[in-house]
Amino acid sequence: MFSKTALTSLFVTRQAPINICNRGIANIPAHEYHIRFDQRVGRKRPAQDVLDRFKRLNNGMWIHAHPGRHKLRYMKDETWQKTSLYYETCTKEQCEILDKLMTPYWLRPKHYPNDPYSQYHVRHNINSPRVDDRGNFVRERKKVLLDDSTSQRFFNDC
Amino acid sequence: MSQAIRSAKERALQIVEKASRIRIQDARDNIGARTTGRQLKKGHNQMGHTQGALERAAKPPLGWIWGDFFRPWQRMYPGEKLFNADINSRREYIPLSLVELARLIDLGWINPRQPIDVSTLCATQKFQINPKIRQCGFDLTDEGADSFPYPVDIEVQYATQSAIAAVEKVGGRVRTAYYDVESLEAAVNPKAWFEKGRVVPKRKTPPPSLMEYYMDAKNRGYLCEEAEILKERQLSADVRGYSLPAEVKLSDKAVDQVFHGIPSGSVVSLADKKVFAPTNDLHREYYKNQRSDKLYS
Repeated sequence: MFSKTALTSLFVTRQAPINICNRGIANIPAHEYHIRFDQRVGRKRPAQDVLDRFKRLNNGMWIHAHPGRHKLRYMKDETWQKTSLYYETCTKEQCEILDKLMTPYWLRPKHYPNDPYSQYHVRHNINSPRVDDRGNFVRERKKVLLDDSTSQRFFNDC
Repeated sequence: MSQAIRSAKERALQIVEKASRIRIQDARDNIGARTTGRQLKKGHNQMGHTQGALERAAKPPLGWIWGDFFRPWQRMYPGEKLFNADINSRREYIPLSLVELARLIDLGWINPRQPIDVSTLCATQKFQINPKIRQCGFDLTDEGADSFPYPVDIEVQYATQSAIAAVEKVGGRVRTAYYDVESLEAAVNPKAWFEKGRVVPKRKTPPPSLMEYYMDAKNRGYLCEEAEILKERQLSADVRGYSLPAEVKLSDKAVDQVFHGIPSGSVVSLADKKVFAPTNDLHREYYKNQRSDKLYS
């Protein structure tokens, strides 16, 4: 028979002193200082931190989730409960920064059938120019063999 | 005269006589009479560091904005799985709207009396498909569905219900068909494929996640029975309220065939304008059997 102390000592699990630091790491890792380039392929690597947290819509706008939306929800009001679940848009300057951290693959507009974001890929009532310096559309898809007035009649994406 | 005047007083007087009228600005210190502190320039006062030390110091990380040095701005937001996590399993399609298709036919880029498939559409040089980055073909979208005039026989990889209805309303035929990566590569640029001397590949059956789509008569999938498709065709005509004209059927491509009229497994010589079919039994056996695309996703 085991004595009581022996039994308790059997079931004791060792508690590792874990303290999770919310602040992250003490030193900035060296790869944070630069835009990374793959040495083998010889081209830019997209920033994985950005890909995990942000999404680029086809019109060039980036969205992200509300930071701290899971924190202390019970003590926040109804409006916050609702709006904290929304995605937020980045400002123009932030979008430009994020575009620089990406590769051409991620900057390309992509078409998926049954895309839940399909409504958000278009943006209306914007005054900024529709084309970039090379004459390519910034926010819209380039239509095949369609002039502008016809494409505006059928497509609702500018 | 200069020798006669020796005393300092007289010399001073003489200077005063020669000088212009004295102003208040002239009553000031000689240069160096009082010394101020050394003037600090930008290179000085660098907290004990030299300029070179500052140049070589660690710079803040990318995305760092004033405030938290240890957490760059882009890392302050929570991760979201719905954004990019499934990018490697998502299938991208090239949108082909009915207006654009009508326009391509109007301007003579596509012959509506011939069956239309990936090779036909890519031969217009108006679309770029790269199967290597998981672009799986064309998605027939419904822009311009109200006024689509051509009874075409078209094979796409994905189609919306309203686009299918619009084509069938004028007597056309739509089939959605799956192309695996290799056969799509061949279909996108047949000339390059044939010139390399590669064997015309066999179209594999779709992966499990797409099997349901291509076996559904609603989507006019290429894997379901003709009778079911006819039934579904009639049903959508009844629901949407149009009378069904006689269907044009221009093509009868086999389930595993990439090009019209070229059996899979053969080699095409563009110089001789000949198609060479395989004679080896093993080779024939391989291309006769049904091959499935990768079993996952």
